Amino acid sequence: MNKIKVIEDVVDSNISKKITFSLEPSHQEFEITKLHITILKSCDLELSLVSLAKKWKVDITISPSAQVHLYLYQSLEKSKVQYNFWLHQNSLLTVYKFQEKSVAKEMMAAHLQEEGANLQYYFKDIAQEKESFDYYVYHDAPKTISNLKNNLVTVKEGKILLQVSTFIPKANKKCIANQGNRIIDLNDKKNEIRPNLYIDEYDVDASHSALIGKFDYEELFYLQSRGIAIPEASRLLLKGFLLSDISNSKMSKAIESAIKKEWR
Amino acid sequence: MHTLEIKDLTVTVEGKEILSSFSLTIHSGEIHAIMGPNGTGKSTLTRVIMGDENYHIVSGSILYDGQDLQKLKVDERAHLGIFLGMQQPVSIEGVTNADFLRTVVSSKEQKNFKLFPFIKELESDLDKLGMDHEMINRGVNQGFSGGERKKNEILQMYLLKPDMVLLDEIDSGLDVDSLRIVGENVTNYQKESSCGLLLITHYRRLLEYIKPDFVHVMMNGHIVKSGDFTLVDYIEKNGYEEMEKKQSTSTCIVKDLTKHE
Repeated sequence: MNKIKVIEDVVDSNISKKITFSLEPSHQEFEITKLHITILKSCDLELSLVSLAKKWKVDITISPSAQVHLYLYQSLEKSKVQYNFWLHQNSLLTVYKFQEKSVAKEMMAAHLQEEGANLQYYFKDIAQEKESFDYYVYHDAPKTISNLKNNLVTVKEGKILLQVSTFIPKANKKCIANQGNRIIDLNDKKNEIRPNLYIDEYDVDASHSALIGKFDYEELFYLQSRGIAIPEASRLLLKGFLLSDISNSKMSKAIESAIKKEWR
Repeated sequence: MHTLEIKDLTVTVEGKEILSSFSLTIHSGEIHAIMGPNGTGKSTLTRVIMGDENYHIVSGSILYDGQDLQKLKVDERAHLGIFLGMQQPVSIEGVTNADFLRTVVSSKEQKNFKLFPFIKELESDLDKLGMDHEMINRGVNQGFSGGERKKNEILQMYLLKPDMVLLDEIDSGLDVDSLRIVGENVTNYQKESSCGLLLITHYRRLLEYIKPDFVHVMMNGHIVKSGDFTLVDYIEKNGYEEMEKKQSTSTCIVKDLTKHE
């Protein structure tokens, strides 16, 4: 596995020739750390970003036909981050993202620039503070695919605003765009999801969903009827919610450890 | 020896009466079957026994070995040895069957839980039910066919070893082979454990595998007729209409008497 870890402005990396990257440390003037990554060929990459009260801009470009699994660990306490994904012809970028500390504000723009570009995005988060996510997916070419699944949980002072906007302009036929957004509210704070589809072309396949609430009563009743008490049942459901779609063992362990920490 | 005793139970949901002065007693070793038209409260009965909070008990009681079940939470009722095999078991995303079953058994056995005997028993039970061993790595009931879901319920029954088993339409969604497997396994378990068994069903075919000692017909929230297996033949031949007519006549009489008073 290729690895890039950036703590504040210090980089630790272990990568093959399939990946190039550069880091522009933050200037006094703008205080933005800029990270540019280009993935030339199919590979897996683990990217960890750690900071306190900083601003980030992360650009990741996927070359034509490259199939990439990106395991993104973000611990950006009180920080702001902007991701830009640039996907070229027939490239596939699958992002598995887990947030260990609450980010203050995050923006993500995915540019599906050429035919066959495919973004699969799985985001898992346990929000402990106020967080804001603003995601934009641009289907800039026909036959491009996006599938976003955001499974988020709020605890303690956690409160989430999640806005996901997908754009398909006219003439970009045969695009597939799905977004599934769910927030499990465990602290009775007010959360908000704005799932937007801006589609100007008929010949597309698109869907969106947004769900904020507690765990499903039927699921809890089923588990309880098997002798599992509510705290354990909730922990099991939480584990399922946050671990679904994650097959990487390191990320699974990180999520499990966060769950254990929060719900001993 | 265990006894489940339901006395004069009246239950409402959103203000609508579903069970009306319902009474039934089940002892260990007995097999009871409840039949009846749709919407008459059969599934409600099983969920109320298990403690579903969506239902409001207006009057009456549910006792298990003399203990008032209304004072117990759902999981506490399960720990007493009551098991409900559901009509439509939910699927749970992301929770693997293996994780779920391990949690189920470890919740029951607490400190006595041992992984290796659990795995051995699980494999043996999967074989008994003709289930693919691979299914334990899938999400709970996720992508399962109707038959697989029902077999998964019976698998949990085997692992939990309950003393009082409630099976709500365990035959729905089963093909003939699966029905035979489920029927034989429930019968075997009942004989081995001498558990009390309550079957909710619409069809005779399940009762050909699991022979009930008592058959009850339920209408409008209570039992209107009880008997032995010959009652199943009667229902098969005549349907519920005739009983319904008789019941509505008797209800009218009761209402008229009330007016008189």
